[in-house]
Amino acid sequence: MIVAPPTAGIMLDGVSVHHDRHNVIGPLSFTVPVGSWLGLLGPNGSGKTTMLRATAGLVGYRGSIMLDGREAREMTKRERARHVALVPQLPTVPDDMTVAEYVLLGRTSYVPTFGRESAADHAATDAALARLDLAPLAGRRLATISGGELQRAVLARALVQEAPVLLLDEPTAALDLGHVQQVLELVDDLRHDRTLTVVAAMHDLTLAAQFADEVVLLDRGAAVRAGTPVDVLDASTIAAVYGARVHVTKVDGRPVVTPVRRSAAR
Amino acid sequence: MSIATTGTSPTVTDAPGAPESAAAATTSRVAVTRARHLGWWTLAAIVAVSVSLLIGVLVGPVHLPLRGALGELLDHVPFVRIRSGLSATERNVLVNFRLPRVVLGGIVGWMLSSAGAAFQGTFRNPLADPFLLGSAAGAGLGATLIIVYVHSAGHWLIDPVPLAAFVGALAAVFAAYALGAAADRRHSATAILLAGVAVGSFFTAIQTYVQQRHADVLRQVYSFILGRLNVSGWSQVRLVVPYVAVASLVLLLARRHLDVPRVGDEEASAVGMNVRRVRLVVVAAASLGTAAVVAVSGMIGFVGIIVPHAVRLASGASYRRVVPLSMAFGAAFLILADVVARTVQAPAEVPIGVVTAFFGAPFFLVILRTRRGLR
Repeated sequence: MIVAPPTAGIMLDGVSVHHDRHNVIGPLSFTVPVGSWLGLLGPNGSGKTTMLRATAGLVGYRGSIMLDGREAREMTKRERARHVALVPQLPTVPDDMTVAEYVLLGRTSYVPTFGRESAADHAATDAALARLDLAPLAGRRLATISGGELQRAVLARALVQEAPVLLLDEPTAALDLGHVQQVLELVDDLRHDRTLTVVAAMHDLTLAAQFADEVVLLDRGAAVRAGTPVDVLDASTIAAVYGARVHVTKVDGRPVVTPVRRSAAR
Repeated sequence: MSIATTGTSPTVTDAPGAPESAAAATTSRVAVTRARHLGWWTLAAIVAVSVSLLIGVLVGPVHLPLRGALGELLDHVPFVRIRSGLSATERNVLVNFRLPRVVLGGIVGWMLSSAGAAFQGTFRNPLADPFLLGSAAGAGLGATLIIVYVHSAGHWLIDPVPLAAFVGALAAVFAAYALGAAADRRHSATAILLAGVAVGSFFTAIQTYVQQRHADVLRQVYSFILGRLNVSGWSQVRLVVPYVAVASLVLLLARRHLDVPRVGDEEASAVGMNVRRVRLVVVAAASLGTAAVVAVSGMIGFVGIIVPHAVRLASGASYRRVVPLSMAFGAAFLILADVVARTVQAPAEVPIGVVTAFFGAPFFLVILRTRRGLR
């Protein structure tokens, strides 16, 4: 029996996922230290979402995923939801549910099947609404709030799970530049406040490099590079994995990836 | 668990932002439960049931005085003693004819509406009704087989038709659920609903075949299938009450978890809900209650769809409210529908399913239009 060191928020050991006998990802092995931010990079279809879903217990896998020193497969649904919260890429939004009702769904793992929410569940919901500046919107229906507000509501729902591990699948895909920065700064603040271990799948390499302590670059289900953003994100690697022509510069010691056209002028 | 968890993160014990929540301490509770006038809805539900009950016992071929009937009804409330002043005949009409029928109608409406709400919730399908998993077809087959092959054969201690309908309904739902779950490991709503449609068609095919071969009992079979509330005394009420009580209790207690699948099975699972288990529990409870009321009243259509939707449109979408309010308004609706069914062609009766659809559908469309206009 493997006992993970207490510093590992997530430890993957030979994790692979199969669909209809096809190997979709893996085997992957890496460790995410408690309180750190791992950027999960790679082109469309490289297995980022599948890896997050496996960690959240939504898809079966081989190998071992340790959360907080415990094998994730052996947890019940409730235990799993208290250990790991997932912000999905395209959340299903019930139009006529209020923001408060939606955030309260995150407390499901604390509510007995034949029971009601406790004062602690409401307190956690109130705290999350306040923390993410959603308190004035608590009674609004989800259909009537903006994309940025909705993203904060989804984040609030994940937050009230009070799980030490937060998984984000393209958390900023639908947002403009300003809201992207707001949401990612918010996640980073929360990470420091609560010592969260964050794994974020992202397409924007520059943003990923600015927030992640380490990144893993996936290509067709395999981890081709792993390390600090500076080590991983160089022009030749990006060209090989993404088939993209980019120019990599550095700002404040972090790589900035700029796409460039094949021929600048006609 | 065999693994020592030395690495528990401080986050788990971290009180969630205690100081900053002080200002907004009751935000979520208010937004969830109070913002939509819960008190008024409770009052409206009680008034609807009481008024429909009173109308139900007053309307009929024998005239009963309002004060007398009211007094007699209140006399049956524990710790209340009222001299109603009704004659022995009037009391007999009220207590042994009108009241059991009204109460049975109320129970049937209560059960079909809440089962409909539960099915719509757990299968995330607005068209789901309590008969969707084949319980109507199963009950119809059970009843037909008994009527054709057994009923006339001898004298029975208890009426075997409701029993056979009850067993048939449960068998159909069990078959549908088992087949759907076997086809899809995740017990997805689609797989189970499709299996329900298949099982329902199969049972209906057999039922129709048997019925066609025995044209002499066609009338009896149809009178069962069309649905009716012909009762004599309290025996049928006593028959269904235990099942309906258990089913209602389970649905009321589990109703908070009916809101979770509104974000989809996968996200419901991600926030810690055991989707399969809750779905199984809800379907089992709703089907038990449905089978019981179908056994004594036949198939009264439309109630299970129209009442939960009307309640949802009027009071808000959360199943916390939709389930209990569907019970109350379903009871009131069916009691009133039965009043119409037994008066418009008196002394003959119109099948109650005809009434629920004829008056229910336009009423439903009006609510739909009004709510759209408000938004």
